[in-house]
Amino acid sequence: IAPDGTLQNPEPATKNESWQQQMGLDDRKDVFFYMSDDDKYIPRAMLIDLEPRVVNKLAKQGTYRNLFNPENLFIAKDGGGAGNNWASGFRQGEEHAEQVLDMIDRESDNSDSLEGFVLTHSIAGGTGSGMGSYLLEALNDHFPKKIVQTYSVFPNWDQSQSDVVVQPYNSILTLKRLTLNADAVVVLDNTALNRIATDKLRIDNPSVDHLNSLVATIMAASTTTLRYPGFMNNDLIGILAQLIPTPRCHFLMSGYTPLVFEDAHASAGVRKTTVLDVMRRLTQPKNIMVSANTRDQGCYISMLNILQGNDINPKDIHKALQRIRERHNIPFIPWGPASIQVALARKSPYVDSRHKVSGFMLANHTSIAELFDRLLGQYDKIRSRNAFLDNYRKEPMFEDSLDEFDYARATVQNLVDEYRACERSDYASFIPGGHSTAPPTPTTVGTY
Amino acid sequence: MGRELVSIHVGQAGISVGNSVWELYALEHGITADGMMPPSDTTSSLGGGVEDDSNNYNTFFSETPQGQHVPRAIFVDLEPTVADDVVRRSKLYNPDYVLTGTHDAANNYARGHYTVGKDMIDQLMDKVRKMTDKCDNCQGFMIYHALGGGTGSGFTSLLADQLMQDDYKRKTKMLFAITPSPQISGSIVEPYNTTLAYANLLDSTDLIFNLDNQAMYQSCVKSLQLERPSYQNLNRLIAQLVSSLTASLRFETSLNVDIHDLPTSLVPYPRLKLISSAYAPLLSKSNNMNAYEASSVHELTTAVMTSNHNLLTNCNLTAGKYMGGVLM
Repeated sequence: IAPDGTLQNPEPATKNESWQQQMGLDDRKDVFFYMSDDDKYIPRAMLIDLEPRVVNKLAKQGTYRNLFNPENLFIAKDGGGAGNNWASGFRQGEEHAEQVLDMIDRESDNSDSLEGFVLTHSIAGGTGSGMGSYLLEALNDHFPKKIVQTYSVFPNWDQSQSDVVVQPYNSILTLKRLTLNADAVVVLDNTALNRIATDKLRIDNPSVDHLNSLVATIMAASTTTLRYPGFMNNDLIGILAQLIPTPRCHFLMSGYTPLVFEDAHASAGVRKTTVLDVMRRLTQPKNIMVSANTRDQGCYISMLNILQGNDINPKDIHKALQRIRERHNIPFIPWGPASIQVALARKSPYVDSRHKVSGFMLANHTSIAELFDRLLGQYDKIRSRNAFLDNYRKEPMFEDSLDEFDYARATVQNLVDEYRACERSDYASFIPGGHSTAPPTPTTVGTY
Repeated sequence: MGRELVSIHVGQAGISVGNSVWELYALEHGITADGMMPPSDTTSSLGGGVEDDSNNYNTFFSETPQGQHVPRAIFVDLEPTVADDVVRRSKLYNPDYVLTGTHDAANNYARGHYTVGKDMIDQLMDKVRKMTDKCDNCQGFMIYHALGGGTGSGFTSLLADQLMQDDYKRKTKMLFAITPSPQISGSIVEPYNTTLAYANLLDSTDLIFNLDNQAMYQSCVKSLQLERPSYQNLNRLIAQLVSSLTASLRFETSLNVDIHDLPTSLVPYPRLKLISSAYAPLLSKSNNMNAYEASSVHELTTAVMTSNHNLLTNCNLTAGKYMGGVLM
């Protein structure tokens, strides 16, 4: 599809028609696009922000400015932004709820059979975290049966690199909503993305655009089986169901290989790819886009590898799985099946790639609790001094009391405990929050 | 959709600083001394190619149908000399927004706040209302004044009180206050005026940037290597500072910092809002240092955060601790 929405018909990169094409199961554009009256493809996307700069830049100057439906761009009237303040973003979310939900209703009515929503945001800022949290709660209310998946950007790891002083507050408050109101969260981490860009891709000063294209690769890879349907994994719920054992443990890590950029010099990166090679690389921590140590601690709850390539032999996959199991000691949870799921997907005929096989991994690993632990540590540090709280107190949610902070912290602590408990074999009898005194909030999704 | 900032300049110091500040803004946006903006050509000295600005100068300038760009500024003083000298002469400012009285405050906070000030405040609030009505969406106020004098301290406190009312409560109020220096003193009663002003201003504003003459003289002498810095040099330094603060609002970047973001990151507790500032690079023109120094991000950051020669506020960066910081 061209940048203005019209359908191009380039020569496909591969000459043979794959069996799917022969069967007529070509690519499904309508998962993410719909056709307008003048035969243009419009993304089913909504761009929401409280300040006009970024959206305007996209709408006026971007290459894709004619692609998006202008009715789906929402900018708050008073353009002030949320000031990196979760409470302000949340309040403005409430104020503009009607308009935004209207837009969402319109788009969802437009679709035949809506499966769910994908939300991309950051958890450390003001709008993405505050307004995003409000939207998560609202989506759960209005569309209780639809899946909500999020791609959440977590803040930078090191103390020395945080962009925003109040990011622990914003993150913990948002994490509570991510735990209770979202069905799956793909965790993306700026530190890891930076590391991958500098180490693997050999870019000295990765810009935001570089990091964003890494994220785009991930998002595209995770939806390949939806858009190029085969026999299995044709819907989102199928993919997620394999990965998420209990409602709360739904924080996923992602990894992708091989990673090359078009402008990277040809000697960087990978040259020959085989199924075994790709699958082995996916288990290495340095290809994973989250800064958690998967080698030394924790265990995998579940793992899904999506292999893309046009001529993959299923026998190769079996051999690779066997080899990995023999050699590589990937720790799995003691109370469930210790297997790696593999799905096959086709490559897009329109995008020419240098590699025969590429792989994408979505995994549920217990060491993600490390991230949350660190956030809790940072949070405790400033909360114990009640520092920087004045701006939160000015907003209606915190006017009377700061209890919301405490509930949120308790929720996140429960989450950490649960992930840690997953590593033990008595997980089935785990009761979360046995010692916490926070009352459950009304929008709890889990059954505990 | 504009995000405008209204500047209010109070007192002699405020007005002189204001003049330099607007000079700089006009220069940055390619606006000439009479308010016109000639179409940018690629050979202009600003290094042309300011593509489709998407009206970013709207933050500070409003446009008339004839194409004149008028600064969103109000100049107020209780005596007419400085205002006449500086502001009324220039074609850039709207004379309607220059308010002067006849009796000055005589370096006396009480006179500025109560006696003479209260006659002037209604007129001023009227102008403020007119100006904010003209804005699409006013983000906040920037108030320039000196804490040592009478108008600057007394009248500004009165103004800040008035701006606390409902209509303006949500807007960010930033003060650029010229504080008295330890060794250079403008008048004997400076301490009285400053203390009284602080008491009032700490509750009614969001951020107070302390700028003081002595530190700026030092920076000029040590870094810029000017033997006798004049007020004009100091004012221009302040103008650079203010321009950097608002650069994110006016020019496109990948990491944007809004005016609302500043208090969130800088103010841990409600009353701790006195900000020290520093600027880098300060390179001397006479020695042609531009040709020899290449400022990397690392150098600039180190200079601004640890060097005592780039400061605009008199404080010792190596003693004490940072509670919060914003690097633009």
